[in-house]
Amino acid sequence: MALTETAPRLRPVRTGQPPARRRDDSRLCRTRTQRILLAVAFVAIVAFPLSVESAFLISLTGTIGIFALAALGLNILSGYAGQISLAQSIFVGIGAFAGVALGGLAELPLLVWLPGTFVAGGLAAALVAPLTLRLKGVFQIVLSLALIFVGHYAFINLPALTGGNGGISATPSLSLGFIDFGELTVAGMRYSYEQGLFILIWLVLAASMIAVVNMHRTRFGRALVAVREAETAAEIAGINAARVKVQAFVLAGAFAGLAGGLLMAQLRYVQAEQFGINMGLELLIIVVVGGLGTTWGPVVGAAVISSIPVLATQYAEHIPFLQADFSQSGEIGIPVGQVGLLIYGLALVLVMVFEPRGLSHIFGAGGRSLLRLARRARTTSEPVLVPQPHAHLGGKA
Amino acid sequence: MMLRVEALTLSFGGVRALNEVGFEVAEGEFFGILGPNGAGKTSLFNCLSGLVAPTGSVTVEGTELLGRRPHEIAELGVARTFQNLGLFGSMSVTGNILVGAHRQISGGALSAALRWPRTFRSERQARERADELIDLLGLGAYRDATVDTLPYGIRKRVEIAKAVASGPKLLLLDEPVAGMNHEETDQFVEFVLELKARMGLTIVMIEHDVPMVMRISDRILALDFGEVIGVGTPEEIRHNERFISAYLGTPAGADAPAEPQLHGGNR
Repeated sequence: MALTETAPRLRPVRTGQPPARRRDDSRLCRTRTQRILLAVAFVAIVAFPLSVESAFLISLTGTIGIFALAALGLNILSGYAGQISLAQSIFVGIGAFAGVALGGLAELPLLVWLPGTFVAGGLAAALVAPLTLRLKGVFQIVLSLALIFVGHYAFINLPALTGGNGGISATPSLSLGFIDFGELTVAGMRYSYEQGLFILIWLVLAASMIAVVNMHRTRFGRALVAVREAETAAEIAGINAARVKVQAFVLAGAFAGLAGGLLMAQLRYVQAEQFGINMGLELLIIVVVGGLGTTWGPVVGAAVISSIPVLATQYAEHIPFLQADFSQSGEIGIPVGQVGLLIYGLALVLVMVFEPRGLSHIFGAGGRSLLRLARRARTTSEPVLVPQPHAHLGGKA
Repeated sequence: MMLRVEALTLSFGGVRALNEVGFEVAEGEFFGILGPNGAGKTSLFNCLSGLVAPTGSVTVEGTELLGRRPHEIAELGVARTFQNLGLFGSMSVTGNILVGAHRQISGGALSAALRWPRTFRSERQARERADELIDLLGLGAYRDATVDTLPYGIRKRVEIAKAVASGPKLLLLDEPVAGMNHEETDQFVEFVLELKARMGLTIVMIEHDVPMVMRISDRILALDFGEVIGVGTPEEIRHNERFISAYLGTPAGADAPAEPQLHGGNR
């Protein structure tokens, strides 16, 4: 485009407007605060598991990381590209069984079997993408439901890889060569398998999030959102909508596969039953509750949705109306196995009614106003809660 | 010849929206299309941008457009605006313009994920060009505003910025000033002529503002009921009886004050 060439500079049509702020929005960190927070996050990923001894807490936070990763993939498809899928769990399953085959049965090293789960999930998604993306809205949901049953059928009929109905166990290697996450030793201290795995899970999640942020802020990400907002207008602008949707579907499957691989490493036992409609629903609810199409939505959603049922089970004795088994006591209440469904439903309704943009939006707004308060406290000697009169009118005079 | 349309016929069931339409637009021309509501003007644009499947032939610099998909036509350097706007509501003004610049930016999902330097360089250049366009169209104050929150007149300007951001050869404008007041229309004319001169555009414009079309078009096509009723310079069209009767309903209208003011398309 020859906007800058020989032609004389045009005066702006409307004068008196402030010159446009020049800011590169494709950067990863837009402010210094964000850069610091990013560094802190990486330190925390290593420091947290090494300083926490509770096996329960480590395994819970590991699970959150795994679900956040699968939800991160679904967020590309449902959040950015606006295509609904309940079948994300099938790709988690494909990743898990690919992990069993590559990491467990073939005993390949971490650097082969873990990327292998990513590729397996992506390939499986590429296989079905042309089918599901031909449909829109409610038909897409129905097709993704069908996909779950087809996937389940495939899983239980491939016993050599999946152990059929009984499931299969695997002990994959977590060694990178110079560092073994399975038997982490730092400064003479031996750490548990779960602690090492936590670091691996969250490092993979962090890297994936950075990759997704990079995509979202550039050409591909804009194409996804454009297709969601107005498909015809996107095509007129030169975007191949069909291709972009397939890419989103493949990426969703690939991140689900990666999550499946990590889930397999965490449980060291996988069963076809796990990857059914329940997990598919859970992942979709994570994405919606966390905030469709937001950077932190999958993590926030996973933290809330995946941890509440686990916490409820753990602390059932302290919570009224909650018990492991009502058949013995004869009381009335909610069995712990069902509490998850109740919470999902409740969270979904509350979020849709009060903040359709999701929890991450609430947290983000809260965080920003905290920052503003802190900044004001630093710059003025006035007490924070007593604003100066007319300060908001920009009264410098 | 920039654009050549031959024997273009489009039917919806029994309705002939376009019947054997043919015309030519030379490079660098400002070509106006006039016609009452339902004359087939927007259908004609939909044929040019690949949204419908007519019969006949449409070529841009000798390349046949019919049979190509909309994004392939965009690749050939044809951009258009929509009468009821084709913007992406949740994105910022810059975001919309960058979507318009899609085919000028390199890099896909993978190279973006890995922060490949070439991809991000192309991204930065596109953002600089977008900023230039934003200044040119006086959109500076709205650079980071979400499009959904902007008034209609501003959104129409963003729509044009989005279309020209692709660096097209041929720009199709569908009722760009519908719903604008006199002052806004004048402003529009000023910056569209500027963009045309700077970027060497060929422009085809549908518009109901007859005086404005007469003033800035090099040549005009008049359509009625899907048929060509006249092609020629503004002066020729002004004296075309079929055009006058199409707009005013009766041949007696020739004696009425010149330049009928029909404002279809505003809701």
